[in-house]
Amino acid sequence: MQNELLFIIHITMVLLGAVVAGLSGAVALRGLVILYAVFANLFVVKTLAMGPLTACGGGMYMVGVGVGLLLLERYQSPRYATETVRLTIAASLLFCLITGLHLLFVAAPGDFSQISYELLFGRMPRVTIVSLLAHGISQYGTLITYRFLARFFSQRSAHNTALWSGQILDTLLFFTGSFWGIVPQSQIIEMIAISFCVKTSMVVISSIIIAFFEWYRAHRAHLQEQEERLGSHFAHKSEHENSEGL
Amino acid sequence: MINEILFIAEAAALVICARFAVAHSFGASVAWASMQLILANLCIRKTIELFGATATGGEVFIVSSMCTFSLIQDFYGVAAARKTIIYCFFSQVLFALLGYIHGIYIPASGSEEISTALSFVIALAPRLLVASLIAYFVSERIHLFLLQHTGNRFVALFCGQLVDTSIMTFLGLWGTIANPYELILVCMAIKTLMLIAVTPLLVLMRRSLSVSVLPEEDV
Repeated sequence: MQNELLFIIHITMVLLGAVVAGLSGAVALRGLVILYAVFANLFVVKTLAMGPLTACGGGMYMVGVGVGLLLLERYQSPRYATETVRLTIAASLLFCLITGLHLLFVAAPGDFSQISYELLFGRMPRVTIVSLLAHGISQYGTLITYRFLARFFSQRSAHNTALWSGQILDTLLFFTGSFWGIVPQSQIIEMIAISFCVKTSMVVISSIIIAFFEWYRAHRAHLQEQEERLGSHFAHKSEHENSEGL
Repeated sequence: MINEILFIAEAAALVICARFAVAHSFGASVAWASMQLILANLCIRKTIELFGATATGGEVFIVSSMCTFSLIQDFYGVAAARKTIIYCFFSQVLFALLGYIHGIYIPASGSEEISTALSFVIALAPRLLVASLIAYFVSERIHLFLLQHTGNRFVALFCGQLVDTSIMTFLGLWGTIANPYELILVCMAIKTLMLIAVTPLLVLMRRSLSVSVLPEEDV
């Protein structure tokens, strides 16, 4: 039960991070999306016992990336979102290279950490290449699907369908490529199944986040309008008083 | 000798990457600065021999992150650099929290070894976060105090960095390394030498940045 509870807390934190960054502005959200892509590659190596099934530790970050990109696409600009996709790819590659370089450093005599780093970073090139392929294909797929569907359906349903289809593609490509030959095939199927469930529920949550952002923007615009109206009212009043005084 | 060559090559590569990040956008610079500090946390457990003394694998990222902050300050201004520090701090908090959660998950069968390795590597993240926060506040105050009273930039910066390194070593790494005093000396020597070595590259980066077009973004 411990893992299931932790999983829920974990997912909430990832999404909350995206919401807070989104409220802080495009810069913070872009930074967070890039970091989530890096975290996904780092934490994916650990598989978790989820009841009788096996789950993977990196999937929720990819949903975080997806939610962040859609927020950027919708509230900043499509170009900004596409550029952020490119940056996540560059960051993932750099992270892989840097960790590879870290393994090349000759450890000092008495150092006992090298084995841990080899275990953790040793799989990084394979995970990165597979995740880049899966991530690139799925994120572009998400954006293209969203742009296409937004012409025919409401923004919310276009967003949900695009995110969901992108995640299906990502999951299939990623888990098969990353874990084939390392863990039994039954575990890969379990990981894909759990990832589908998690991602589907997160698509629902992300639509709530989008709704919250819509409300927040409308509320802010309303407040600004009120402030402006009050400001012009007082300016008009003082102007009137001045002219009376004169 | 291989470690020294790797170290210099890595530092130069990281500064060049910082230049590209800064030229791209403020968001990319923030992400790059945060990533370097996370890497510094992540790689700190490995000890390596540099110039005949023992150092940690995270030193190079500290030096390159200092260069990144410097480039951000030059290109986007002091306010943006301050904002970057805040964003970096929050990214460190997020990394520490998420890393802690990953550490306490019960691993699936066959993943125990990886789980132990991951827990070992990220175990220090929360402690380092607290240590770096304290070190930053204390060292910044000392730096500013000395700058006001002595007027000597180098002395103020050196003393500030010495206090920062000492606090980080004692609060963040005490008990995990054999000789903390040697590490402080090595860190300070490396920081000073690397900053001197990287400065011409940094000047080159600044010159190349000054002709770049500032991208539209909310800084």
